[in-house]
Amino acid sequence: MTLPSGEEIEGTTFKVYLYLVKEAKPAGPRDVMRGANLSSPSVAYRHLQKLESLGLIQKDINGEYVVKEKTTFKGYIWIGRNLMPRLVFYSFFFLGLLTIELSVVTLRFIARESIEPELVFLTFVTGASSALFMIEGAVLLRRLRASNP
Amino acid sequence: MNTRLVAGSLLALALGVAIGMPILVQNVSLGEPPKVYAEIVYAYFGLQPFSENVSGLYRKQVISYLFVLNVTNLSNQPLIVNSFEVSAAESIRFSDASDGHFNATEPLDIVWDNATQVRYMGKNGVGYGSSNGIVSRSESFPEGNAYYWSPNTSKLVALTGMAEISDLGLHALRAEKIFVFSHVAGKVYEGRLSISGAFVIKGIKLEIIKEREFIYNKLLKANQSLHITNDGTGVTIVSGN
Repeated sequence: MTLPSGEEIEGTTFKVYLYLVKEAKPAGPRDVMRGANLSSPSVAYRHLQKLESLGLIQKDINGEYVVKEKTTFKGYIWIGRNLMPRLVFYSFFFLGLLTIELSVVTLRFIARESIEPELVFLTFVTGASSALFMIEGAVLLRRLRASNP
Repeated sequence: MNTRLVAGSLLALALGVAIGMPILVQNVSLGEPPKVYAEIVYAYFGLQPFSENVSGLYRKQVISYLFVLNVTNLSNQPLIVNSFEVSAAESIRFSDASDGHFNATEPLDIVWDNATQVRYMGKNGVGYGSSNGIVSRSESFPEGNAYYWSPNTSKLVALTGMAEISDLGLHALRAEKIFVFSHVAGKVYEGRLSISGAFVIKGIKLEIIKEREFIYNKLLKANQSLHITNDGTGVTIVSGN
């Protein structure tokens, strides 16, 4: 499920949503207040209503809230009930490629074979991509951890 | 969260390694390098009849030469051999220095015999040196099908040219008994693995014709002759006239 165009959840609403996904069971405003470290049940209720209006959660027969379906967030990927920044995985993918490229360069250097400038350039681009994805991914991860209850 | 993040990261890393692996496999040599052997089977040296009146020549003592190498791929892999090296001298010998380099202080003069000595490139390389050189030639050709060797096949390659020759070199030729050296190099076809073929030194006995031409022939029978292609390297044996 994706959010309606132009809509996005952030801050406390995002925190409440992550809590509900992680709990994977119906929760009332008091549970949410405790789990997401909010100041009062009314604050929790306001954010739950917002999420309900966006169609991300729904009330069960007991009046408690459950997640309807996990929505996608730009730059993140769900692994089980945990949201992870995609860029970290991109970074590790390029790190794998970089390992191979560096191995090839090293082997050629040891064997005193020619090392083409294209290979050096490719290795540099792969290394730079890995580093940039890692930096951006780390920023997103820190933001996510700050939001995570 | 951390466990899943680490697991996901390792999975992405493994995916990157797996996708890049073909590049690595292509660059890593597994097992023994393929063997290739090149031996001089025909050599011709002809003293050119340049008179003292010919201008443009520093030294009038010039020989034309033709070496025919029988290059054999001893492996089960297709190879490209594109680098050829031959030389002829009164004396050529391997250096047994442990570091593989020729020791200049060692005497080069050795007793001629018609033996063939073969060395393959090892950890310490192969060292050799010569004295009273007659001619020395190395050639690297661009890669192409002309220098493609199928597994376990032989092909003839010619190296021709002209060179000035010193008095000592000419003296060695006239003495009939000289040494010749050959070595070829290349790589595995469609691979990056470099190969250094056998280093071969052999003592040969020349047949002298009219004091001006010197021939070593282990290739042609009485009714056969050499046909050299116009690029100067391809050789075929033609029977009859």
